[in-house]
Amino acid sequence: MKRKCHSIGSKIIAFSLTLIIGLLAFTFIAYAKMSRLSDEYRILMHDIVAISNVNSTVDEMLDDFEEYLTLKTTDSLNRFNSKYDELYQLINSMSIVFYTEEEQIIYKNINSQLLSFNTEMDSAIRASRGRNPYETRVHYEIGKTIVKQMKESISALILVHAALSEGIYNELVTGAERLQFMVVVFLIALAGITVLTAFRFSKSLVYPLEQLTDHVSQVFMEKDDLTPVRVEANDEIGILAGGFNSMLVRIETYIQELKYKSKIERELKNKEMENLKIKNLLDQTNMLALQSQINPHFLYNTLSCIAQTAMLEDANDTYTLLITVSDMMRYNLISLDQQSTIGMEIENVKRYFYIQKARYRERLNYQINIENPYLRHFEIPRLTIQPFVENAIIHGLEDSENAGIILIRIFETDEKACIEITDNGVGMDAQTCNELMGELGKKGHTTGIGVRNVVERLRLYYGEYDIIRIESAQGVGTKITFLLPKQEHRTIDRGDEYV
Amino acid sequence: MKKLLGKQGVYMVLIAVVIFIFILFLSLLPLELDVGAAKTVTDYRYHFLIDTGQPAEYFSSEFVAGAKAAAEENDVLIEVAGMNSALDSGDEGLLSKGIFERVDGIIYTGRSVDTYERELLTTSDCVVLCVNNECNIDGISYVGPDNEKQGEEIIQTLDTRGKDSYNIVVMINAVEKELGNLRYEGMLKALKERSEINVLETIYVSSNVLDAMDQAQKSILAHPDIDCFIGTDETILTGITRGVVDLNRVPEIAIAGAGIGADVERYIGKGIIRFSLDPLPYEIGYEAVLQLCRQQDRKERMPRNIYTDYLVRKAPELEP
Repeated sequence: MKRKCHSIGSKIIAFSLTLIIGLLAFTFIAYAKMSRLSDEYRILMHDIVAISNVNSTVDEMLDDFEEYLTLKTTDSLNRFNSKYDELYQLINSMSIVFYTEEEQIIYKNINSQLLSFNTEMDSAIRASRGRNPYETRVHYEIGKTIVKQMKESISALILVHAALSEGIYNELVTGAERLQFMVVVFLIALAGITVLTAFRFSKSLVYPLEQLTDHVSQVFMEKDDLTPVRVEANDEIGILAGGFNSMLVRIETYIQELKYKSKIERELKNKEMENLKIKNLLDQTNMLALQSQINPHFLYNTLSCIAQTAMLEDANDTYTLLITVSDMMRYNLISLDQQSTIGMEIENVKRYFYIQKARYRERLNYQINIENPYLRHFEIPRLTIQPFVENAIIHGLEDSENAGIILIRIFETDEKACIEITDNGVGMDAQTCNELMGELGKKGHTTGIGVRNVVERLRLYYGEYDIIRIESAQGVGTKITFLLPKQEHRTIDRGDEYV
Repeated sequence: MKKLLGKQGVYMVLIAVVIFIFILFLSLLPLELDVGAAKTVTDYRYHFLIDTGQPAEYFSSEFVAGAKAAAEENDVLIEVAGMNSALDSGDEGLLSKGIFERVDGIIYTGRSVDTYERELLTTSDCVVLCVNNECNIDGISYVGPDNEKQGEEIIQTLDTRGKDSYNIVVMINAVEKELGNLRYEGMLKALKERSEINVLETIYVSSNVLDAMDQAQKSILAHPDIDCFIGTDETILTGITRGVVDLNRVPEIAIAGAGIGADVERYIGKGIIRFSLDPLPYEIGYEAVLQLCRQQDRKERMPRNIYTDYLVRKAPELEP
């Protein structure tokens, strides 16, 4: 992923470079300006000194000429000439900056006066050599006049230059003050902006870090909050915060996955436990059933033989009874993990009633009412109704002095398929009812399966606890109602194999 | 910049902008000084020295303006005493100093020349001109109005209507006397035609306001029947006017003469001075420089006198 951030290092470098380059540029220009000012002032002072040097040299030159006129020696003449040359060089090599036309005119006049002086001195020297003292004197006096005029010109030049220099000096001072002011203002402004920038910069570094650390402490130390941190930073801190948020998201995802897995595992475990219970129950039921069973093939064959014998002896009732027992046994011995239907259970109950009727005769009556024919196909666990019917006969009707009647009603509500077994037996009290439903509930006589076993199997099968309702009154009777939830159940397509 | 460096980039741009602004101001800071004149003085064809009085005076300032105009056209350096020169206006040694400075020409308002200066002039290539006041000096030409004619004009212009006898006092610049007194000669010539005009007194004064004022008041006290004062230059006219006004003799004493300046114009506007001859100094200055250039170019002798025009300024002609 392309990194879209602005490195802290690059920001620091950019900030530093901006400041340094700007300061350097400003300092360079300020230094250049100051140097210029300094040069101007130096030139100013140099000019005045240079002009003053000319003044003194003029006096020396005249002195040398006077000495020549007095001594009339070659050396004195040479001294005068060299002084003249020196003065000439001095005047012509003066690197004075003339600011006005007046200065230039005076300077030009000084040069002209020097030439005029030279002319007069030449004339004086010629006159002197021609031994003409009067003419010598005249030219000398003219020369002196010229020198005096030259000095006046030099003085005028100094005055004018000094007067201008004062103005120039004031300009330089003003310029220097302006420069100084600008430098101070610049430094103050720059310092202010730099401090502000540094403050903002450090805040931009520190604040996101504080946000990040606060959030870290909240996430891992104080509370279990995995909400992402919002950090406004586009540098390494922003990357760090982004990485941290990604980590939080992954952790959250892992936690959710773990929770889900845990939930699935828990559900699987619960399912396993239920299956185990059912298996145990079935095993127990099978065990119980198996305990009370002998070799079915031998029994079937024996019963079949007896039935045939009864048929041969025209004992039709006996024959029917034996066939009924055989059918019933065959049904009861089918594994309990194979489901049945209400219709098949009712047929099994009918067989049971037939068998019991042979014993109890008119003392036992029953009525079966299926309100909706399709309820026959409602799936229920095997051997659900018969144990309760058996219980009703044995414990409800056997001790009763009256003829007993058992009503079996199959009906439905919106959500339930109901099986109602009502008897007019002796009823039972609450204790008896609890015993009936308790752990040590009595085993069935025919199947060895107690009502509790049936209730447990029903609860496991339908996944509901409130699967049965018992209403009983002593001396009145008992009504047991199965409330079977309508689930997606398959009709058992076995035809009427055991019906 | 924000995309490049984030929020901090904005501050960096701000710093850069502040620095740039200061650098710009610093660069534009006027610290450099003007270095010398645009043209050096050694580049001119000729160098003329001028002394026509105090540069602040009207005649001198107008003269110099005309001279500078001609100088610019002819590539000539003009050095004006008391302005851009080491020499002061009225320096007695003007001619010799100018010769020693090896100028090509000297223009002055005329005064007598001593032997020494005459000697220097003869051996020098420097050409000397006098202006405004004719000077009968050998070797020195004149540029300006015809002084004699000016004198005649002054007398001829006097208004003596209603007066059988018109008494005047003439006050003349002492320099004119040295130079030949030509204006006065012209006045005398014209007076022959004006018999009603009487010259009560002829006074020679220096060209000084206070002296002229003092003399005027003395004359008024000495001659209560004065009808008119005549002055031959603006300074004298100004002095006369102040003297007459001070003695509260305006308008019965008229004032007239030659010369123009700010004060004279004002007095003419008020009617205190009846008229004055304007020598047109600008034209004199222009012509004088031209003549000197011609002289130097052709190396031929200048005419003795080069007369220029003048105007009679009366009160209605001047702006109030």
